[in-house]
Amino acid sequence: MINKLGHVTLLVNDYDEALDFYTNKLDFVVESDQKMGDTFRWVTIRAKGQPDFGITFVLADTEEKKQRVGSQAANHVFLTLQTDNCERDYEFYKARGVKFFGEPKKMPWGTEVVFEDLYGNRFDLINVTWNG
Amino acid sequence: MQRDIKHAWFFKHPVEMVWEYLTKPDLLAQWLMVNDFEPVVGHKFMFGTKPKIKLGFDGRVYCEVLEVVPLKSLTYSWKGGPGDGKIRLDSVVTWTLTPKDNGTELLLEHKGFKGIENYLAYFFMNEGWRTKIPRQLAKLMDLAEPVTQN
Repeated sequence: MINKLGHVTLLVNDYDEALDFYTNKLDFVVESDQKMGDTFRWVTIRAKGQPDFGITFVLADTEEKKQRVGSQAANHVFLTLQTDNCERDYEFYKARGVKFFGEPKKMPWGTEVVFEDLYGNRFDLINVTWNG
Repeated sequence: MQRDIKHAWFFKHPVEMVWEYLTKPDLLAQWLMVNDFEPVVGHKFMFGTKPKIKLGFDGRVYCEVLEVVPLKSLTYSWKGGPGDGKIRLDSVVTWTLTPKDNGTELLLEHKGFKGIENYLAYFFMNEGWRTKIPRQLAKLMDLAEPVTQN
């Protein structure tokens, strides 16, 4: 049976600018960055507290892919990202220049706020407190 | 080998005002770094800035308030590393305020830069404190309305 998520694909316009955003503005770490042949580069990042689930950057090298950079889930949240302190990290990431939509809100399941990456992909930063 | 940082500055502002700039998160953020500080012993908090990944710094300073003597002194731990729970710099910051000549003498002691792996951290922090405090903190307090009237 399928019992785990492996990688999720994120279309990027440029590997290095995406790496810069995800590692220097957010807190992702580089899992692998390897050239395979002359054109292909395998770049994956992961969250610090989760070694076995990563985001794979895929270069948008066709018109169709280019059109989808930043809107893989249209304007819906693409991934939720968990933190132990949403309010603090909202302030920290905002100070690093990350664009947020509004301020953290307390919901029955936790505190959350939506932000976007360098391409406009939306993420929900959430401190889950619901343990029911 | 351990290196310590020690600097003292004089401000023409009262201790009450200097204390506010050391202990109110929004004021502290204006001259130092964004933070979730509270002047309560045992409170764990962080300062946040840009990571320097190649230097083994994840952009967060992990701190815990160790001592608070209102208007007199404040001590917190100051730890940093590459993330994933690893700590490379394990240091302690102490601020001491002394009323002097209608103003305040502020003493900073930052101790615990051990070993060669913390030499760069020592160098950057020493320069940082030395330049940030006169340029940022003093300037902010000069521009601000006095918090207390004599």
